[in-house]
Amino acid sequence: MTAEGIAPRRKRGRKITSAAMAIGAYIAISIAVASFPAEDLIDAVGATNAYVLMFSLGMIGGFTTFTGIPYHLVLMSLAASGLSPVALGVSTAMGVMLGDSTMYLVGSKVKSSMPPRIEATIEHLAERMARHPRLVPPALVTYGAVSPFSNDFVVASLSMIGYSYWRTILPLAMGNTLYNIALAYLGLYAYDAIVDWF
Amino acid sequence: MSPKAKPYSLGRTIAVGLAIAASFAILSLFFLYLQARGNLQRLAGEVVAVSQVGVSVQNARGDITAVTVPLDAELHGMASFRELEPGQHVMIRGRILDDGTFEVDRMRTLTEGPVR
Repeated sequence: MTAEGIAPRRKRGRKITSAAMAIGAYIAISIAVASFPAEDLIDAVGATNAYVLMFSLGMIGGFTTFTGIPYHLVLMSLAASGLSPVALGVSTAMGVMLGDSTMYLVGSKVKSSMPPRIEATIEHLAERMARHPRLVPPALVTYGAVSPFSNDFVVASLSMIGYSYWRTILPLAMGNTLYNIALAYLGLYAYDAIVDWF
Repeated sequence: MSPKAKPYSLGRTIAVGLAIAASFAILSLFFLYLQARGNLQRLAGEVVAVSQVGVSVQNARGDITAVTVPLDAELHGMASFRELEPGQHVMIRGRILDDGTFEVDRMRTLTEGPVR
């Protein structure tokens, strides 16, 4: 192999290593945050306003790759205590979406570090999406509202495809708002039963 | 110039994506289970009465729980639980005792009241 061929390979190897390290660090931070008792995070946030508290917990949850950690149970308990489920759901969803925005940034940075076949697959998906642009926003609202899966995969994938930030985040935020309001109402009517399951 | 790489099929891409998302969702449930399994429980609501040994807290459905505050309880937003007044909103972490009272481990005041 010529020296001209080795240099780009090394450069690509370094890029893949740094992307793998970034993803590994993201997952490690997620596991660390998910392992903390929610009460310690609440102490760390220190807010006395329940809606600010839920916004902060939602944002921490959005930073991590695990769905809803650590805010689900806190959201339901606050709704069961008599606070507005709608306001709790909206403030939590806004926090989650702000946290998920970091994944958009990560996605846009790691695209060029992907193996060639994955990069080709991403481009292929982008071409398919470009053929049906009107289907994407309703699909994102639906995903945010009903999917128990993390938003991170969707946000990162769309970021890699080059889909616009606002077109990704706004529909997901709308869906997530509905999801969190529903979760708050679930807490209002069934918190004791849910805690008993555990 | 290297030949352009062939993309994975759409079905395979969706299957792998769903598998990754599902495995992360299962991991999330595991952590949620760990959080909920702790030996402490959470109670939040409106203070309706304050006594020498504790407070009574009412939830959204009107259920009232007698809460005892031991000396070593961690209090946030107040120096003593006796400072609490009816109508204030609190969030408590603690355990339910055999006699049905709720013993405080940590208690904090919240600035919002319940929705009327």
